[in-house]
Amino acid sequence: MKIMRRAGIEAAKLAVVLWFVSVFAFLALRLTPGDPAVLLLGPQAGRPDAAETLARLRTEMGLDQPWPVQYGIWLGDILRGDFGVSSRSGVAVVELVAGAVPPTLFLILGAVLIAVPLSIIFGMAAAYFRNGIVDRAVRLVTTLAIAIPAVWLGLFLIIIFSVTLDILPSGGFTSPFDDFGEFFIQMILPVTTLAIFLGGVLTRFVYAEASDVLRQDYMRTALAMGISTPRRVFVYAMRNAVTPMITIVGVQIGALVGGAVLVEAVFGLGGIGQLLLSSVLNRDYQVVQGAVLLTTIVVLLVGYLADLAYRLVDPRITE
Amino acid sequence: MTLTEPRTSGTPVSRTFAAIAAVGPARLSLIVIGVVALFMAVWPSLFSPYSPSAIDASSILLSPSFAHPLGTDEAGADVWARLVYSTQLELVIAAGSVLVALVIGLPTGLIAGNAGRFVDGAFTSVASATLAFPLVLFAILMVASFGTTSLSLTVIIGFLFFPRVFLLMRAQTRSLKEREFVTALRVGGVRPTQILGLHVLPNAAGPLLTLIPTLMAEAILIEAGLSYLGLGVDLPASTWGTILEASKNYYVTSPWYAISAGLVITFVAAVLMFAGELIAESANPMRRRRRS
Repeated sequence: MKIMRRAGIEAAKLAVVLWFVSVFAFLALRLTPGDPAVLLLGPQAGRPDAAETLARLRTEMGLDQPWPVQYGIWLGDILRGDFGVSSRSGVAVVELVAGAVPPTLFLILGAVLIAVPLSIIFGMAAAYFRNGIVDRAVRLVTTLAIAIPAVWLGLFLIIIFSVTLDILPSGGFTSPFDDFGEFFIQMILPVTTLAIFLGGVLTRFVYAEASDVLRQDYMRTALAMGISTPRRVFVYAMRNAVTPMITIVGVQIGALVGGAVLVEAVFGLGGIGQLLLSSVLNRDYQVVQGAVLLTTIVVLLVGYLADLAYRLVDPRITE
Repeated sequence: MTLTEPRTSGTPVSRTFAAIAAVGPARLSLIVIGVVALFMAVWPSLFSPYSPSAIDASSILLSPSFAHPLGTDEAGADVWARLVYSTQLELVIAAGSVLVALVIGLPTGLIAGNAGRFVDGAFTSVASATLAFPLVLFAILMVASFGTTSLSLTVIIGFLFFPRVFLLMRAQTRSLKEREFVTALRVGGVRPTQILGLHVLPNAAGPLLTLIPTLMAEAILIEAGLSYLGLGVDLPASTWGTILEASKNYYVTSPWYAISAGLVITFVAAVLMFAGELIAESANPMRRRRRS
């Protein structure tokens, strides 16, 4: 029952955070110069007879209302599941976001699938051979993995594998449901780029956890009982060292989305980051607000589920 | 009161060498790199004879040579000179954003760690809301809205970092205020503001010091990412990030141009991260490694 109560409190917190984000996404563009009606009309907005057209456009977009009213209308629509339409293309915001999600999502999933097992192996090994050559090498490589700008690493991989060796494409995205082979080949470089960053973060984490776990009494007991080293490290120690990783993936999901946004820009995958960037520059209020809110909902939900899963997996955590 | 070893033997020179040796090679090289970086930021002309804004049609996108160790850019300017002359702004943005984070995070963290449930809860929700949101998306929204000046970049990156300072400060305050010396001060009638400012804050400084270089490294990386998206500082100002952004259009014909810009960013970010680790190790003996 405790976990149900906990779930309720966390859900309430989630709602408050979402409300903050909605206010922020709403205000960010409105507090700064740039009139969406003028941008929509383009060069014609400068003509002397454009004032009437601009006024009509503003009324159509609801921009003639005071901010609180605009916010109220937007929030009311969202609560009914209506995220509005793009003022530029007239396409529904939900549709635009749904179209931009697959590249970002596959990129993140691929990176997680590669980085998680590798970081467990390297993190555990480095902790076991503490102060040895493996430890030093792993620490150096993980620091570099985090210190390399993701955009540059992507560019570097393109220079090597697309330009010099000419064996992998430098960008583009094909849906895996249309042509899986093409999708797979196109995703190799972007996924590698993101996995290197994520792997660096996760390996350091596993290393820190494993260093603590390996020093615990039960590990010494296991040694005294004559249990083999691989079994001790990869069964007994690993279970306790890796469980908190669920939370870390949950916490890092924000950073991961951020990394994915940069990587998808390098490889021209056309994901959520590029949608947001272009709509911010076009002052497409509805799309920006919708994309920001929908992304945040997903990110928070993943963090929330990770937290819940962790509590279920590790019965020691009650508070 | 501090304990010092008596130093009576040896000449001043040998004592200096002994002192340097005691610092250790890792710390020493970090210090040297730091000093060189500061000199580059203040007197860039010492490090390159060329002007970073030179326009020379006869030397566009040259390969590395003795005259131009990292080649030249699309306007014919020396790439090494551009990197050197960008150090100043890069470091100002990195240090400035950490300063912004400290200015917001320190007092709010002290207050939240010391306040009742309501104030603490309100502050913590704002911090976790900021932390939960994907940093880069947030930055895209803010920078694209508020403009691409070095000041707005600094403030926005600093704002993104404030929850990290806040949460650390809050946790430190909460644990410190339960300690006996704080109780003793309270019983002794010392004012709460004085306890916080003169006793809690200095004791929380250690963990904060390790956070500063790490955040500076992250600021440089975020600045590079934003610049790549076209949200870097406006011309004629230039940072390592905007140089990387400019180089991306020529990676097929002039790969060294893009590679050198990225190498500088990676090197500096890695050095800052190592510095953070070293400070953490010396601040916390539990994490110190055996000398080998």
